[in-house]
Amino acid sequence: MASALPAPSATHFADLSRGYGGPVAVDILIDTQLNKHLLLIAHIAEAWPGPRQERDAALAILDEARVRNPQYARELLTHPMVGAWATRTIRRLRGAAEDWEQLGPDLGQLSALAAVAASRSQVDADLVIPARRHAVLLPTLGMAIADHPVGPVRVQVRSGEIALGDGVSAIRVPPVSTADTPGWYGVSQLTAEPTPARLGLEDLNPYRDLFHVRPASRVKTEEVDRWRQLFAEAWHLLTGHATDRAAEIACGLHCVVPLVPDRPGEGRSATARHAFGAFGMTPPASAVELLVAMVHEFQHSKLNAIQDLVPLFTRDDGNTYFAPWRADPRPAGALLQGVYAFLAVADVANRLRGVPHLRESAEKQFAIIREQLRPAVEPLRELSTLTSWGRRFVAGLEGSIARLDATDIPSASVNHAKRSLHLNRTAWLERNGSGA
Amino acid sequence: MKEIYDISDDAEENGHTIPDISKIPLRDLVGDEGRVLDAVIRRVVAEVIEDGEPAAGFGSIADDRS
Repeated sequence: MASALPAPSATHFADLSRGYGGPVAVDILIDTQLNKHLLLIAHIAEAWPGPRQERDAALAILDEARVRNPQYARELLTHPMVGAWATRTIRRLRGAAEDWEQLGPDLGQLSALAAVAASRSQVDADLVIPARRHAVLLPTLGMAIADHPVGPVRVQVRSGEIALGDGVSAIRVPPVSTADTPGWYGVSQLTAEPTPARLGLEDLNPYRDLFHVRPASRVKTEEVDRWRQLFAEAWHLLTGHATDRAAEIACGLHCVVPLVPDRPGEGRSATARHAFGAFGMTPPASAVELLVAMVHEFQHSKLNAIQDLVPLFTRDDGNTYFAPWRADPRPAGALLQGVYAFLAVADVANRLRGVPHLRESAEKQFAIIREQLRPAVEPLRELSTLTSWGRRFVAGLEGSIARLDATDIPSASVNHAKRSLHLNRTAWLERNGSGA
Repeated sequence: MKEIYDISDDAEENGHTIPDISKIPLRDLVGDEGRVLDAVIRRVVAEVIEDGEPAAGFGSIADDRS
């Protein structure tokens, strides 16, 4: 028998609303994603258009793996790329059910998911996964190159080992799946200590095109090394100066999708609504840039997941508002996202003022964002479309902003931030008018 | 059927927007047994479709620095 997921406790919800949460609250959000992904998979299985033999085999193996190794099954099923796959497949099921060339490999990912789950759960399995353009994706592990561009590829899982194809041409997934071997491309991992952290560099997954910026193709080894170096440096800074944020990011942020900048040198980062724990980013210019993006984008992920758990708005009020960090008018939901993300960035910038070589830039950034937060949160407080959860959430944000406002910083930085906000608002009003 | 899951209409106050199905076999969520979840699945799926592609939630490092 199922029951409703319990609402978050008052303490956890208050922590989340203040912009934090910690690993325990993030764990609650991950549980929400597990149940959401199970619902989406159930829908895909229910709407399955073709023969159901492969569907049933995959579901049976997934169920057995969930019983044998529930912790790993939870980790796998809540992976952001599983969310990305499920949402893409559901949209395709709605839009072009007859397009088997596209839909077949999408549906076949259910078998791929089952194979990966089986390999970590001591479940033996025989499955079939359709190739797409010679590629067979095993989510979270990597991609095998098939002999043929499309069509079924046999997958055998025995004692934790995965083999794809038949006979001499079979590809065995290496024990360390991140390594590349003939016929196999592993998902590169960015790792760091002392608080263990790991981010998959998702440059293979066909469902990684989640953002408004083109995802990069397979990243070259030297560029992967650069990502690794900057991630290690960023993690060192984060664990040294924002331990609480590092702990929740270690718990909930799982992968980064490298993006291709529209223009050389342009830095972009993004979060997708239904891929909790993933973010996209152009190659970072520095460790601080990567750190800021991780903090900023993980806030978006958290807020997306919070809204999967409890409704913050009854509806869209149809209005748009001034968001000091954007040139365009923003709807209330997007404004809330911005406040939530920039609140965390301001918090981290405030803490990085304690790092001698970052003091000046961190103080400037802290002052500017802090100044922007107050006018951004004010219209949210007045919204009639907030639920009781929404009102509590905005009150929590306001409390954190008030604490940042009480931080003493040199008046030169404060004045610079005030001038910056004034210029922003003037330019915004000229562009959009007061009634935007 | 009701005893599998009965989502209430007062989600706004109680926050019960997604059921806890983490212990239910996927095979039991498909077919007749899963039909009681139709309303929940329809809502979650509608959100997924409504959000379109690419998904929302876009930021810019350049904007961070403004």
